[in-house]
Amino acid sequence: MSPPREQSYFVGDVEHFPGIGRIPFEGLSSDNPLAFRLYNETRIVGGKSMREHLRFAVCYWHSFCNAGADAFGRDTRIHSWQRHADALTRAQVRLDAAFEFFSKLGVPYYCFHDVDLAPEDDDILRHERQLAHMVALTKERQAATGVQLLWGIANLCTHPRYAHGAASNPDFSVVARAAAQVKSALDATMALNGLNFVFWNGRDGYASSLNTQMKRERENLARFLAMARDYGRSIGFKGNFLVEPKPVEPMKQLYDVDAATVIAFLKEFDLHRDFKVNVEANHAQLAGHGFAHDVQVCIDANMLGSIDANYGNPQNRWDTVHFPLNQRENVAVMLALLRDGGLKRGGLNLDAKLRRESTDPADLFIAHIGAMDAFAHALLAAEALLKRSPLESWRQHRYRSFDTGPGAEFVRGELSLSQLHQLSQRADIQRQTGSQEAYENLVNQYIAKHH
Amino acid sequence: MGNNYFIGAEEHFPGVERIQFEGRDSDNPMAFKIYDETKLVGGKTMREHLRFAVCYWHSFVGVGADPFGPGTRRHSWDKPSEALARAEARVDAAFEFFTKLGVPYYCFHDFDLAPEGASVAESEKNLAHMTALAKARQKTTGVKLLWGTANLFSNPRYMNGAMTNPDFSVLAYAGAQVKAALDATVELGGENYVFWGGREGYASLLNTDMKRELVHMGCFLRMARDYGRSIGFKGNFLIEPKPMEPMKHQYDFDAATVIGFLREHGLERDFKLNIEANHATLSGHSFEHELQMCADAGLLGSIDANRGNPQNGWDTDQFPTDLYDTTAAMLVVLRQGGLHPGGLNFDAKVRRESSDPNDLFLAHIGGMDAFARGLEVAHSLLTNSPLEQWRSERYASFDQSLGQEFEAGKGTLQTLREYALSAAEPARISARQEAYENLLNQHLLR
Repeated sequence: MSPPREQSYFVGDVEHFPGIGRIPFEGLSSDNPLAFRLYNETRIVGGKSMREHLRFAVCYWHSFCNAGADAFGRDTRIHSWQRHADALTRAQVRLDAAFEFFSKLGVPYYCFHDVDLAPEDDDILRHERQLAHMVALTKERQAATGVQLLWGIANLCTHPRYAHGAASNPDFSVVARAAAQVKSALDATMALNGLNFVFWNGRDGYASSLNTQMKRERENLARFLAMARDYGRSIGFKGNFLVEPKPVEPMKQLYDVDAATVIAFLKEFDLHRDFKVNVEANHAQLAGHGFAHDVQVCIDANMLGSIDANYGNPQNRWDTVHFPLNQRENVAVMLALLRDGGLKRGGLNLDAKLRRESTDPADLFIAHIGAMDAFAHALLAAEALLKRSPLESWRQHRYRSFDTGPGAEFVRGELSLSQLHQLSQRADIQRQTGSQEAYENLVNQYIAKHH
Repeated sequence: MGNNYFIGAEEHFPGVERIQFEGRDSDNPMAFKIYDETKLVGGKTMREHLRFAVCYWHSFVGVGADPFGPGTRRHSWDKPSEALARAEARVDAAFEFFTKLGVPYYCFHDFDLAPEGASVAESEKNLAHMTALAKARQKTTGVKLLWGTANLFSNPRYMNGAMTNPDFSVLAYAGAQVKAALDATVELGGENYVFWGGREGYASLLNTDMKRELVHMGCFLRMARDYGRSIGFKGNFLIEPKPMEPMKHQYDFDAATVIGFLREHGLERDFKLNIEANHATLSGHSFEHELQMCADAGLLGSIDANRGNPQNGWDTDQFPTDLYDTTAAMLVVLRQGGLHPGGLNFDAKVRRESSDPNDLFLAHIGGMDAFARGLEVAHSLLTNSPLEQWRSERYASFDQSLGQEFEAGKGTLQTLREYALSAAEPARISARQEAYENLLNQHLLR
């Protein structure tokens, strides 16, 4: 991770966010909507700076490509970088806008899809040339600003050729076409020193089981991932490959349903040494889990790679990708992360988008500032809960009967069912409360504290 | 079995005799229209294909109580004031029902069959007594035990879970109960033994060490397997997935999660899965998706045949009458070569408002006819329609040259790129979902 560059920021040929400078930290008493109240990147929490703990990334797609279009209407935002008629020129201007934003906001990382960075082309060679051109420019911007690439990814979802999936497409020629795209996206990620490479297999699933051979498709998906891993390692990529679970949308059923499903899949196909999981909050919610649940499932299996930090509207059964402002969720996730020793090679990628009705250029700053402050607060609350509250001792106490005596023998696998039967004859079962209300009150108490 | 049926000391369903097959033109609500147990479908009888079981709990224990009101049905077998006498009357009523309906199998929880005692020893004594009676009834009627299970969720001691309880003494108590339930299942020649982890999960992650609880569950299941094998149990152990309810989150979330768990703990050679339709839909999957997931892993053990109300977010356990569900399920079952040693257990309950004794027959007749029709339609689709051919043609590019090499694990990402470079932009090949759906309806509506 590069050190913070205090008040400097990048501006290209045109300033895309005029009137906004480097976002300052002003503390809890500030009323300035364009300042941090809690995220102070140099503040030390438990031996590490907030910047090192939280490893924030801005995503390219929602922030610089999306302009508000949804299934019922077209764009509502007019981006200064979209004015040019030529696609490659637009990509170049967009790159400058993105690095201006990254450096004004003060995030250490960003993430992209191949087709966010460079215009997509049906001609493979032209596609590769355009991507390589943009990668060279991006490398210069990274050097100028110190902003680094958290992860790259290939968009294997949008082009109509991927209607039936990419790696799991029933047509081999589409699988091969997807491979060409992944290869160039891996080359780009490598050239930009990306720390991770992600697969979100957004069309790998089915709309109907009637026309689908699920077993064959899942096996082909696994083979494809193994090939990508082999190629990545052959060009010297040392980072983690990540699979991002999502249960549904756009398909009726996606194969990478949730963390447990993906971990089992990776282990079944012996991919778990190179692949880990990128957990997205809203995807976990769509799968019927809490955000913290899927994070904990990954941690318990030593398979947490990175996090897409966002939030779903609880009443909507699709991916609303709001900015993550729910402290109950965020604190629970920071508790899990701190217990596990932090994010390691991963980060908190703000895979979130402005509402369609949010059309001011400043909205993009305000949204990111809110999310970063929310996670900074969650970090402080979680650190305090772990260090200064009875949370850990309560939870430890709840399992104390497995720490010694026959309970410990059980955990070591030294008892049989007949011995359990014997023990139950003399066991004295006290009704032991789960005290969920006390735990929840404790967390709220620490959410409300000044840290 | 023919037309015989069993009656104990008292007839509990007077006026109802052996339910007959009368064919599709019959208007008799108390007759089968499709399920003809001796009819051959692809070389096996319907009875052999479908392996129906009646469940003890919803049918003979449940009386319609819900969280908003008490029971609405008065069962003749619940009249005796003493619990063991009630259990004895209940076993007679159950076998009368099984034989009048004509099902080959039944399933029970330990405390459906015998009353739970005040101590482990008393519970064991009650269960052994009722097991002897059930064994005699099985011998008289030929009805067999598809599976047994232990109820590790109703007693308040299990409020924090049984095998995943944070208190070891509760876990040991659950061990004692599973031992007795395994003893009973083996004594009755049960073909499978089921674990439904109804309280194995959490209400809050704040007070929960999920990793530790899952390790405990793995230890416990290994012990149960070792004990079962030591007393000569040859059948499958089954885990029944459910994502939530009563807990906020349950560990046996869905088929893929359970399969991953079994493999993680080295249990996949002795354990398979028991898929319940309504649990599948609660986990955000279709019934057939969960069945296919298990079949693809060689781990489909048995089926709890019911359905959920699509608008309700809880387990409504309705009788399975959706022909699309039954057809899709039977497609999976036929493609994997049958359900043996599993079966189709009607883990379903009549609605609270259904308070006539006949309602229990009507509900089962409807479920059996729906699955018999699903069997016929699935068989017709597989043997007399282009379904299998369409589906295999969709993947034809993997049956030859580079596609075939890819499936054999040959080649690299670069060779794929070279192929893509030399080939034209892939042709847009339609998935034709509408044609498949029309084909299914065409066979369903024949």
